[in-house]
Amino acid sequence: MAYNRCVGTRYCANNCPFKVRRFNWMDYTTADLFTGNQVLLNGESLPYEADNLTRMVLNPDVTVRVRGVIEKCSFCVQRLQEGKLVAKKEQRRLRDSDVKSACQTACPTEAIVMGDLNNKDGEMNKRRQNSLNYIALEEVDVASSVMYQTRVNNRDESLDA
Amino acid sequence: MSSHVSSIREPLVFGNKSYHNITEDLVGPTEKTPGKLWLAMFILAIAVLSMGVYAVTYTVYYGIGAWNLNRTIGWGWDITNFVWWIGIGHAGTLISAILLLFRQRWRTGVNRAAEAMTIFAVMCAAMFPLIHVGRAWDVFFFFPYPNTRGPLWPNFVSPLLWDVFAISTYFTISVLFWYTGLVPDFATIRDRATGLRKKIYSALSFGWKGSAKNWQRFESVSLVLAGLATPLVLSVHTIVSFDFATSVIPGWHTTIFPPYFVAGAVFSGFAMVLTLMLITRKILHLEDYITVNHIESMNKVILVTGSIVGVAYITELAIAWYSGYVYEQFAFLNRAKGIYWWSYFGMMFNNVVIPQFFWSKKIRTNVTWTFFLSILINVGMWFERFVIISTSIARDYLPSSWSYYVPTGIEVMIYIGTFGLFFTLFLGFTRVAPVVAIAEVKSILKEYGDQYLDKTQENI
Repeated sequence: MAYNRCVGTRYCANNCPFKVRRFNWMDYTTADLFTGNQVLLNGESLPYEADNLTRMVLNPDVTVRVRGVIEKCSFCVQRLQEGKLVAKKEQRRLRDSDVKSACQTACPTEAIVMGDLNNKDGEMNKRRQNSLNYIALEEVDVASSVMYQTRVNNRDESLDA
Repeated sequence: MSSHVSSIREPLVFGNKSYHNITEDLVGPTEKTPGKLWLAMFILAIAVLSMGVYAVTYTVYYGIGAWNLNRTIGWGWDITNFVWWIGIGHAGTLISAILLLFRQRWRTGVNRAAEAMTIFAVMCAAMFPLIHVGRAWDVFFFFPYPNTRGPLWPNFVSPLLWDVFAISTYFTISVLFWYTGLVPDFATIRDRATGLRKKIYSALSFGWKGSAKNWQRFESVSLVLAGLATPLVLSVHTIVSFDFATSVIPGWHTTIFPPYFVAGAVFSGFAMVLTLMLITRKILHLEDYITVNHIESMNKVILVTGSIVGVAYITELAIAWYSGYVYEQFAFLNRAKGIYWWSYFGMMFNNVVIPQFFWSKKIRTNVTWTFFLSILINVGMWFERFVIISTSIARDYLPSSWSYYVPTGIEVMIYIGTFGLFFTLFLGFTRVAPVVAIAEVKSILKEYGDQYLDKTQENI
C-alpha cells in the first residue's frame, strides 16, 4: 500500500470481497494540511495530545495515514523489513522465527501463525499442504495471503442418514 | 405565403417559416433583455449552485466522513450521480452525431439544445470523480503528465483511469461539435448586433463569411466530428460500465453491463432532453421548431431503449438463476426482497413499465404526458444506478460485512447543487446562443430549396 499515492477513490475497498480495506474518513491523526478540521472532544489543544514529536517518539516506523487514504493490514511490514535486514546482515535466509506479526505475538492461543510461503521446508508450506487448510472465498481467486484451517468435528456419520 | 407540403410527410418546421422568421424567432431571445421569468430562474439556479458549492467545500474540508459511506459501501450518492449525469449526456451526442450520419433531418430542431445539455451534464458529472476522492487536492495524480517521480505514470490497468480518458475525450469532442455548429449561428447574431455585442460575436464566429467554401468546410467538419462522436456514444458509457463489470462483486461483475449501460444512457438522456425541451419550447415559443413530431420521434427512441433496458433486467435475472452461482443469485434476490427493495421497485416500474406507455400514439404526441413520464424515467434511471452501485456492495460475499447506507444532507445538497450548476449554465446558454440550430434548420426548409424556387418566387 503506497499511502503517498492513494487519492482515496475507495474503489479497491469496494472490490475487496472480504471488506478488509479501511478508509480514513476524517482527519483522525491531525496529519492533513487542513488545520481547522480537527475534532477536539475534551478541550485539549490537540487530539490525544498527539503532536508530531509525540507521534515520532511512540512509533517512528509506522506511517501516519493522512485523511483520505485507504489502509489495510500490512502484515506488519515494518517488522518484516526489520527481520529481513537482520537476516541479510547475518548473511542467511530469513527464518520464520525472525518475524512475528503483532497479532501473532498478541494471540494467547497461537491461533495466528505468520511465515514465509516461499520457504519450501517452512511451517507455512506444511500448513498449506495440510488437508485442513482452505482459503476463504477461494472461487473469487484473489490469491489471498490469509489461509484458514478448518475445524475437525468428530461427527457420528450414521446420524446423517 | 404558400409552402410546399408533402403528401406523405408533415413538414419538419411548422408555421410556414421563411429564413427571416427563423432568424427572428431564434436570435430574438439572445437580443432582448432577460424577462422576469428568466431572471427568477437564474437567481434560483445560482442559489442552488451556491448551496452545492458550500456542501462540496464542507466535504473537502472535513473529509468524506461528512458523508454516510462506510467500509462496506464506499460509493453511494456520489458515484450514482456521476453515472446518472454521464448517462444523460449521451442523448445530445446521439442526436448530433448518429442522427446526422443517418440523415435524419428532424434532428436540427433539437440538436443544439441537446448538445448543450450534454456538455453541461458532462461538466456536472465530471465534478463527482474529483470531489468523491479522499484527497481532492491530489487528483492530478490521475493524469499522465511527465513528472520527476520516476516518471511515475498512473495505473493504466484501472477502469477508473479509462474513465478519465473516456470522459475527457467525450467532453472535448462534444464541445468541438457543439461549437462548430454554433459558428454560423454566432455569425448570424454578429450580423445583427452592434457595439460590444458585435465585437464579441465577431470573435466567437471566427470571421464566418457564409461563402460556399465556408459551408463546404462546415459540412465536412460536421461529418468528420459526427464520425468521431458516434463511437463515443457507445464507448464512453461502456467504459463507465467497466468500473463495475471488471470488478469481482456479484451484481457488478457481469458482461451485460456495456450494452445495458449504453441503452440506459440513451434512454435517460432522451428523457432529460424531452424534459428540458418541453419547458424551453413553451417559454421561448419554439413550438414550430421543436414540434410534436420531434417529441414523438424522441419518445419512440425512449420506447426502444427502454425496452432494451427492460430486456436486460430480465436477462440478468435469468442468467443469475441459470448460473447456479449462489452469490449471483443472492445478489438479485436481495435486490428484489432485501432492504433496498423499494429502490428496485422504483427502477423496475419506472424503467420497464413507464416507457411502454409510449406505444400509444396519443400519449407519445401529448406534451403533458411526455413531460411527466420523462421525469419518472429519469428518476427510475437514478434508482437503477443506485441499485447497481450501492445495493450490490451493501450485501456482498461475507455477511459479517453487510451494512446499510442512507445519504447525509451534505450528499443530497451536492446532488441538488449539480442541478444548480446545470441550470445556471443552461439558462446562460439560452441567453447567449440560439437554442435551436439556425443554420441547420434553414437548410431543411422545403420552401427555399433550389427545386422550389420557381414556385416561391412570388413570395420573396
